Amino acid sequence: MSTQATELRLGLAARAENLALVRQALAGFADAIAIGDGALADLKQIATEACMNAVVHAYPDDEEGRVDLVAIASGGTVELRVRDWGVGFRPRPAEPEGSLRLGLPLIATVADSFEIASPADGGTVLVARVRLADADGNGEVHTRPDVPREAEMAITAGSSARPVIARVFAIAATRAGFSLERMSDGVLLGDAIAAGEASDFADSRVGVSIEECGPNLCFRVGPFVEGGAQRMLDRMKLPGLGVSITKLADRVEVEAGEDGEHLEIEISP
Amino acid sequence: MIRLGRRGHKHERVEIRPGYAARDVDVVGEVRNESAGDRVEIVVLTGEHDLGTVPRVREALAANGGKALLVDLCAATFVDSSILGALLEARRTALEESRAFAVACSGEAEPVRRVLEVTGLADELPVHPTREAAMAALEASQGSP
Repeated sequence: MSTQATELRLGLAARAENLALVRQALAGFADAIAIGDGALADLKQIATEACMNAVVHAYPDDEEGRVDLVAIASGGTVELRVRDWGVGFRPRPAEPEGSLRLGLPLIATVADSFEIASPADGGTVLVARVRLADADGNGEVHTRPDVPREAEMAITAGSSARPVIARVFAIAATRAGFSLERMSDGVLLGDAIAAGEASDFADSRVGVSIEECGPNLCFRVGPFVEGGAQRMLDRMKLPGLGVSITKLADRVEVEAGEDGEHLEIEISP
Repeated sequence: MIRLGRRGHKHERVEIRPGYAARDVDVVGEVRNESAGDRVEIVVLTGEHDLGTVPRVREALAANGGKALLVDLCAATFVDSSILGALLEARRTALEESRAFAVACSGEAEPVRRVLEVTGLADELPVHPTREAAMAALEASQGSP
């Protein structure tokens, strides 16, 4: 397949009988850029579901509307953009037939990524991407991140990080049966973490996961750039007293792993 | 310039710029009812089905004469979520009326089979690999005719 982008643009009246036409156009597009049957089936499914949403949901019954589809094949991926100029996604008390109930989950399952947005000039745009198989017909291997034991967060450092960490910790601590006193100790530790310097973190955001460690909870902070974890610990020392806020914790460790440097702070209930 | 015009009720002719031959593209799926004795109604879907054909599919599913219902998707090449919704509705009605319900979808109907699997409907409907297997399941659930 060519590495140059190949593009298809299709504009249609948002009518049910045009859904078949969308699939035919995509089949022709697939012929033109020599993509396999599996990827074509995925593209047809996504395009049909997305255009059907426009047909069923975007426009009032007595109004004829437009739906546009753009397919761009580039660098081993096909991106589909389906756009209408209707009333947008709205929660409805009862969904009619051909509802979003099955359609959006189906798109989510078949697409490698997808998002829905409301453009400033109205309507809805759904963008989905499908990665194409290689020449041997093998799809790319999808690796899933580990399931977090509690919650993983990455927050802009500073005042916005404090309330998020405090509230998430409070929920986790309530579930873990923390006393009020220990919960408040944990919130103080969370505040100290939130005050971290963005430049100490590998992606410039305060990364924290709150995990269960047996009966205790663990703040796992990072990944840091090299030395970032120690700098955070240094900042946790109370000025003039030589005492660190980490005294409230049961265990404090700096871990250097393959995924970067992390700080582990464990606190008991 | 691609001109699209309706020709009859089941074909659309796609005429492509000079240099390419105009070709008929069978873009609309067919649905038909077949009776298998007095206990099972079979609804056969062939080709592509979506919101455009769902009224005919619903009509065919409803015309079951109070019999057990077998939906044969072995020759279907595409179904969208509106068709899945119609199948779920037909199954619900059949169960409410104490009629057996089964779907057949062979491995050859790969895109359809995949959609049934990724939505979890392959287990829920349930889906059998051949019409014969689906018929056997219907007969087993009703007692042999």
